[in-house]
Amino acid sequence: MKYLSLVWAGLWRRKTRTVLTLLSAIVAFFLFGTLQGVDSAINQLLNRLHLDRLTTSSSELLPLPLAYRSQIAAVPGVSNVVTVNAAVGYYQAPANRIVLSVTEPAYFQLYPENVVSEADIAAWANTRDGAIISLGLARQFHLKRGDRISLHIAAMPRADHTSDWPVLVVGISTPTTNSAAPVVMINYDYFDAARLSDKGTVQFYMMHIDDPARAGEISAAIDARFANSPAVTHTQTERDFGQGALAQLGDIDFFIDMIIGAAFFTLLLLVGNALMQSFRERRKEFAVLKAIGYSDARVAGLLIGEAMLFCVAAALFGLLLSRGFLPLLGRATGELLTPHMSAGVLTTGLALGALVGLVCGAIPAWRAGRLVIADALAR
Amino acid sequence: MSSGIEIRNIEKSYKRGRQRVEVLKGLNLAIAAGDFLALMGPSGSGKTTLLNLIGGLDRPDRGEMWVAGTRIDRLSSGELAEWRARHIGFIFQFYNLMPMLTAARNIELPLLLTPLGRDERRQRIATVLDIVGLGARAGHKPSQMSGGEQQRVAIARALVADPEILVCDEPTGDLDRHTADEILGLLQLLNQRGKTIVMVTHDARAADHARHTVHLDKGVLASEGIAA
Repeated sequence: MKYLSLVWAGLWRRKTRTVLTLLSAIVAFFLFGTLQGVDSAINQLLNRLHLDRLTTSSSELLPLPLAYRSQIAAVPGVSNVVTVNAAVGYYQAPANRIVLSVTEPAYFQLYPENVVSEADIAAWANTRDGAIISLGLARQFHLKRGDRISLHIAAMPRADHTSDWPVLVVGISTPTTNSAAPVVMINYDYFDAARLSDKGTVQFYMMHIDDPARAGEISAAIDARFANSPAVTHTQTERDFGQGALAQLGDIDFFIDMIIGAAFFTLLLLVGNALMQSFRERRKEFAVLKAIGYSDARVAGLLIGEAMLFCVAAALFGLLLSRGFLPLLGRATGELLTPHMSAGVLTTGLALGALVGLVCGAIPAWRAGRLVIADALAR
Repeated sequence: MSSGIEIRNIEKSYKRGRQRVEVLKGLNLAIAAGDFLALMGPSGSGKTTLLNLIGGLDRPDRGEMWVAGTRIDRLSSGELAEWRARHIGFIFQFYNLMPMLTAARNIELPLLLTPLGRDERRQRIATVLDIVGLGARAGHKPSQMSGGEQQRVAIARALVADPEILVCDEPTGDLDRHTADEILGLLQLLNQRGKTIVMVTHDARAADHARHTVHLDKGVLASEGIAA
């Protein structure tokens, strides 16, 4: 501790350079914390998806006939088959994104995590253009039962060549996860009668299976039934389906690793260069320290200490900034993702800071240790 | 323990490109404990090399170096660092203070190597600042001080760990006459209080403040004299 003032003073010898390098390092750790938070939020989202629920879709992204439903329901181990069509649209303005889910009342038995009162489900079943909206959406736009709203869904054109779907709010769902996500559910019958094309088809069948251990076997049995049909199916667990949907965006883990890798590679060069520059400017000072009795190891240790203090401080600031930013990011996704910084990421980030400091400080420290006093003082 | 210096048949050479330059050639010198010796000679005569050897900053190629009772030419790099911390105080021509540290912090540097606590360190710093006459400048940085004041801080830093020997390389080379006389007077005072001082200088007036003067030429002793 008694050397701290010496280390601190060395760090601030060139204030502008230190501040600029520190800002760069803070940005790198901010990126690290934010991307780790997003990654863990995606994994959390996937982990919430069930293994005892299967999703059947077309392997060629074709609509599936409604007639498949009874055949799927006949596969042993399958129960509660529901139809689902989904698309993203908006309410009032493009900035107010919503997810429209076209389904049926049995959906709520399959997805008990969407809590809706019996009365609301009954009202929905009895109201052709009825809609159940998520609590988040209701709160955001102060909507209540009895309100008539119009949803613009460009991916679901109507027979009248508009994409506006007028619905009557009859119920409010309270999802146990992502309660702020803006979701609207409407009846399949209403949707199918009014839509422009693909009548009598659905995008997905979702179902419950008795034994998750038999998911592969049951999926294969379902797909085998439609192997020679015009719309060949692909059945998988809800979790695999979610992972597959994400995979369409690309290998997110790979992207995150690449971005973090590039940020830290740049950081190593930047901090390493700043420390080497600082070492060259202070050769004489290190020589003086050695002359008055500081050993080679102690002088090297002071430089390593400087580098580690700098990088750990940058890591701390960057991670704290990221911690404050992640909830905002969650809000921007409509709480679909709830990124947060775990203690593990914080600890890893700080350890990474110490490691970067160690690596960056190693060469100047080694050179300071080998410095020949008489030569350095003579320059 | 004797704070005298005994140099026996020392040789030292450096490589400059492909050439080996002999700087000290079989030099013998004895400096008694409590002496104040001025080392003089033309540029390239080996004064600074000899001073670096005495201060343990460099090692001879051959010969024996006995300083403050220790044969230092056989010490390892780590042992030599420890030995310097205990026995030698350095004063340089250009002061070589840490620009980002205050006078007190600069003076504290050698004390950080000792087991002294914070209060004891503060007390010692205050004492040496009084000795060099800078009691009121403890919180000032080198950039806020004159050359003479900076050299006084350097002297305080050299003194604070109470070494037996002060090694001074042109300590007044960067100062005006008046300030140089003040610094030399301070060195004389320290010598009177028992410090052995070895000083390299080009300045005959500075050498007059020493008890003895030794002239080096081409790596050998040219003459030896006693100050009037």
